[in-house]
Amino acid sequence: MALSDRFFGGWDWDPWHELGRMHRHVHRVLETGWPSRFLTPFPAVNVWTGEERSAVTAELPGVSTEDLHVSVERDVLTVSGSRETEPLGEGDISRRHERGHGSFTRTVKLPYSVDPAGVEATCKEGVLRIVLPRSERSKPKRIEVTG
Amino acid sequence: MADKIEVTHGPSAEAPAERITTGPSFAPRVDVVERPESLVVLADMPGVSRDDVSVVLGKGVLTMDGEVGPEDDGGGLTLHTQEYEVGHFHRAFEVGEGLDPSGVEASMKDGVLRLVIPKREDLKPHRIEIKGQ
Repeated sequence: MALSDRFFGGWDWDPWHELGRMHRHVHRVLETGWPSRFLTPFPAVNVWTGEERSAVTAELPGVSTEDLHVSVERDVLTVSGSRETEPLGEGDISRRHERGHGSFTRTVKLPYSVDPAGVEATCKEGVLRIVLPRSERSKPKRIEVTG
Repeated sequence: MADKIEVTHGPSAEAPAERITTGPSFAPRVDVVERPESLVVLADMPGVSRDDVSVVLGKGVLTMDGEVGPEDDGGGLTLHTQEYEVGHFHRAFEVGEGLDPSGVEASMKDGVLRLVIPKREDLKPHRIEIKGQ
């Protein structure tokens, strides 16, 4: 996935990621939504990093906590789940369908391994927030240089 | 549980024209389902709480607005990858003649605004009894 490529330093500019981001932005600003859900991964995520911990947020409107799964293995975070659509009963007709539905999986590669026991995930108003503390083993060790 | 939202009724709703404003403004994606008795509108507004959403009906135009504050940086973390921005959600619909917008009900759950607009009483399907001879 394009997102994980961006964590490797240097010239990591990815035109496909950039295109997807621009596409998402344009469709959010214009009053049309239909093609973007096929071209951009769901959910959209923001990633914050720091020396001691990282944080990942994801837009998951309409996804209840029971339908959401978060797991972490070393430096890879996986968010998966499903989003239900409005059930169509007999005589109901869908007049507009811009919101995607069904199951989704996204993986985010973090810049370091995290301590799985310390990961905290909360979901509020359709926004998932995960705080991931850096594992002790992945922290740089200062080596004393002796003369 | 979905939180109920008060719908403001007034003559001052804006026309369904394009809108320019300060700060980022986004159009929420919507689904519309027609039921025999009503029209159901679902709008994605992630991060919007029930206190930060407004639904205004006036002059046949239903306007929905939601506000999201800036995201928590987790105590001085650096934004590394940004796939979405936060700001203002805004979208307006002209309500068709077959609907009774005065009876609209609004609620909010998991960042999704849900509107139920009843059909006009005289346009609802009704069963006609067939009498025997």
